[in-house]
Amino acid sequence: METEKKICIQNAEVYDPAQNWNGEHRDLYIAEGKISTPFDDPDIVIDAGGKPAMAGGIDPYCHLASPGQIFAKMTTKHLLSPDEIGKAYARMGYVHAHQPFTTLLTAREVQRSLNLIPYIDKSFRVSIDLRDMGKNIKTKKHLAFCDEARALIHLTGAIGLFLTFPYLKHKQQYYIQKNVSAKKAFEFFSAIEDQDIFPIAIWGMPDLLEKEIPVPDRFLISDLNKSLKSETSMANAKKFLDAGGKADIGLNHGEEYLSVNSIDKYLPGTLSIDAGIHNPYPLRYETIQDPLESEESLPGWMLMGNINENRQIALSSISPPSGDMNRIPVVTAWLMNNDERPQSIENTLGEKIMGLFEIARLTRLEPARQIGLDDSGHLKTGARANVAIYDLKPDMGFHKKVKALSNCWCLIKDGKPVRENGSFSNSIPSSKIRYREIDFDPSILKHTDLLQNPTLRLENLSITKNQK
Amino acid sequence: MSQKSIYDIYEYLPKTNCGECGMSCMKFAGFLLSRDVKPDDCPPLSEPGFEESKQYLTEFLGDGVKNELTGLIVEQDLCIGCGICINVCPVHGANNREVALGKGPTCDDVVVMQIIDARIDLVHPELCNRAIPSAPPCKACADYCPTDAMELV
Amino acid sequence: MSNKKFDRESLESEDTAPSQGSSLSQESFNDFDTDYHSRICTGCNCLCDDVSYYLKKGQMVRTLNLCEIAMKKLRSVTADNRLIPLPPDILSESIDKAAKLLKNNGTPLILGADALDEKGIQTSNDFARQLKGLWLPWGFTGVKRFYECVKLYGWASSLLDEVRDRAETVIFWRADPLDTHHRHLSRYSFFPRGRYTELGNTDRNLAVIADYEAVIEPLCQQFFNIEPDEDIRLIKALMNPAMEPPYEHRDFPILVNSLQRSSYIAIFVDPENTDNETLKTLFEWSESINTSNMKRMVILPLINAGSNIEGFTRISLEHHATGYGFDFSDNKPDNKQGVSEDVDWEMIADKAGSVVMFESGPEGAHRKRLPESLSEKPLIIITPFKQEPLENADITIPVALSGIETDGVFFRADGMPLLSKKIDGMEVNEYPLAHRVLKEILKIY
Repeated sequence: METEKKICIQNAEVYDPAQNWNGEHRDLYIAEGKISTPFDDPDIVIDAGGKPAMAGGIDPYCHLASPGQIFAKMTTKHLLSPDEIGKAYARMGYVHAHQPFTTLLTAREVQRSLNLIPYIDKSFRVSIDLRDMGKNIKTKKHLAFCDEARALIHLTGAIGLFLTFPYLKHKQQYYIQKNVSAKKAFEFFSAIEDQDIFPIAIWGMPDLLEKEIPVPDRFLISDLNKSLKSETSMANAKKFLDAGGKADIGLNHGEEYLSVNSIDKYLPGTLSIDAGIHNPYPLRYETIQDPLESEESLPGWMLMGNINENRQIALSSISPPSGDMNRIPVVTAWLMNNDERPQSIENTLGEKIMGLFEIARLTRLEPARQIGLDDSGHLKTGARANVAIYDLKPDMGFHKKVKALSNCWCLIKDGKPVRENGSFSNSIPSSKIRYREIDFDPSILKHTDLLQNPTLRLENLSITKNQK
Repeated sequence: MSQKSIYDIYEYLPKTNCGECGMSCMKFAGFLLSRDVKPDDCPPLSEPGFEESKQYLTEFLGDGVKNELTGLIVEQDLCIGCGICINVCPVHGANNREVALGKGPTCDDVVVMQIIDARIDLVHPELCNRAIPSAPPCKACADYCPTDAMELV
Repeated sequence: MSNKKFDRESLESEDTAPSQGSSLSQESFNDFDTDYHSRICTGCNCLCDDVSYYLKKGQMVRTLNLCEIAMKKLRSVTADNRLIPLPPDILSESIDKAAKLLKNNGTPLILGADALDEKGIQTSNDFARQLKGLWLPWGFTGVKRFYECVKLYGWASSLLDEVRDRAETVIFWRADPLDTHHRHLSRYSFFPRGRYTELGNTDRNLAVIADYEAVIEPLCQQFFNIEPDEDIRLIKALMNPAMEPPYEHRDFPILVNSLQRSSYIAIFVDPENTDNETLKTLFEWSESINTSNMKRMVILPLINAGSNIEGFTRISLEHHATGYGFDFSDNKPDNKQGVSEDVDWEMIADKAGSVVMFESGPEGAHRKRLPESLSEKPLIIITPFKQEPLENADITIPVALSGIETDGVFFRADGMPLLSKKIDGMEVNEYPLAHRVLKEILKIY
């Protein structure tokens, strides 16, 4: 089947929060790889038979190809291959996964690794390190910062910025006087007028939400769970979200997983790479005895129990590809069903049960918005034709729901059927890295430290954007 | 890194102070070191019995041509193109940020020296600190050359 | 077809003869018709990206920022006496012969794909898989040794930029960059100015451990000229300077002091020259420093192997979860995956029935590390570098040099993939691409 084929999906129960479709029985029309207005002459008709359909899923945080991650293959057998990653997502009805960060130096390495993953589209953010921005922050050179940020996004092909740490503590003794406090950093960002560089993603850190974040609507907290360490942080998280801040939250913890720690802690057996962000990026294979009892996951569940439609939260796998993303259906089923929830989740989530409308928002619409994919995460006319249909019934028990969510009945990506009747079709869809088009002033390339510092010349650092 | 000394050279001269070269042997050793004369300019060295000494001195002094402005001699056969001299040159450090950060000079950069065909070559000796009479004598390039391809006289 | 000639003499004309002033001023040089800048050198895995090439009528007349290692490779492929491309019928015949040779001689050893570009490495992996052979890089023993330690201890590593920016003590452990990676010190590890090392080498301390007169010796602050069997004692002493009896060496207290004052330490080790126990002890040291969370010590391999050894490692990891190749043959001991832990070149030589070798440089330096018994095996050599067919080679197939005569992706020592573009005008279409040769052999096999 080709992208050019016109497809009609009949008799689907469509969930699309962008259009307020909450299980409406509708037909969907696909032409030239996009959601189309109705037409009379489809080449392919898919009878959904009342099954729920929604836009293809989007995982807004997965360590698909973080710098140096490949070496974890030596220390754990649980790291999935690129093929396995792509198939795992497609099986669950997902069409896009987002790599949280790369750096100017490692963008090429990450791009290459992402290109190896089939079936899904990918994107990544580029890290801005306050070491480089420190001077601009101290001298309040907002324009200079924006120029550099734009150049960074353009050169690396990133989809946005990622602020690794919102404070800076130089480790080398003589540079301590150049530290930048989180307060100063946030004040600086608050004063920026260039909206194109926002939202900036910030890594969820244990102390990030001990104080309120100013201008929350400019930020996105990645892996919010890691910041929910106290009652204060929980309260600030709610304020942050209520004021327009965005976040993705991972509720996944497998029994054994590759731990990606952002904290400054080196444990024996760790692979840690200094990739050009302030702290080394550590990977460690850990066995978690009882993941649901671990403190890390429960605050997130608690927050989910208090969620409302106005809060811009997306569900992420926070996965190194060690199998955690395969837990997305389990987490989703726990959100939808309260019959098999572990007691700890029941205690925090309470009686809350989510329907597919809310699930679609968490796993499609919000992630697309956060990443900046205007043409995805919804089924409006003109959107990319990414449609997932599940053989799911409302009265299904937990285990059957997990099975249905793990093996989507039909998946169409960019107008091309990838899965039909619960199995992969013969064709593999196109798989792109989504970039962001952003203007920037080329003249700054010559006189900015950030771009002159690398050991490589800029023309060899910037990546080739061969896909849109 | 190791600088040649006048005594290394004097050792291999006839030490007769015959004056045929117009000066004493010690003085001749000094002029040999500064490459203002050659071993051939000492007639006794060409006589039988001094073949080994002459050969040694010819090899020891090498083929490098002295740059008069700077006194720098580059023995190109010893150069491995490591670029350390370019890095440590204080002129480059002060005027060319990219070079100071470890990158090689571009074709447009106006630099004292450059690696051309895997050998260091002086391209703008007039920029060298040693070409400025009032500047303190700089020996950075020769001091850090790991293969003794650079000599300052 | 013509072989390109590199003519050094043509540069030394009367106009540019060194005399009083500049010798070969770049400004005065205009005797070229095409020039290429910011090109990537594939001489070693430093992958210097600041190289300029100047051509006149298809011949290389000048280069900038190339070191001697790269220059030798370039000279060998531009030499008049480079092996000429095989005419199509002879090439066909050679490929045919190669397929037959491989088929009739048991387990083939596919050796040295770390000399090829990314495509070549990928193809050689498929090639070895289909032929059920051994797929190993030139740097096999060192790489294996290194990554076995990574498996045991984890690994603190860094980009070369971070070393440049932060390392206050740099140690070369049985590695000499001035022997194997000429511009390493000036581009990354010691001399350039960095973010936290603004004064370059004067903000750093350089120590070297070697059992011979290393080229780097004049530059270092501390030089430990010790035998390999003394390494562990030195490492343990550095881990615990107060231990009894004290370590006696004039440079020891200075190095200890430097380590104590440093917040970031980089050790470059050549695992080919370091035994297993020493390497493990180095990793233990690194782990003890890093778990203190007060300092950081990174260990980086400085491997003298094919210039794409890092690419080989990564591709090997992608396919096999090992960084040092794979044994596709059926007769593995205990039916284990990958290459068994205690395998060495002698055992490989015993197992291999024939060898397909990708030459990594004009002097064949890496061949010297192979056991004698391997040289008796039927040999196919695929090389851009040779001036004479190797005496013991059954088949020699001259191919294009990736990164000069064809585009090729190579990986820098810290994993950065970089595209080394061909130099237009230098390509000699008659030289086949290495990965195409492998595919053709496979078709017939």
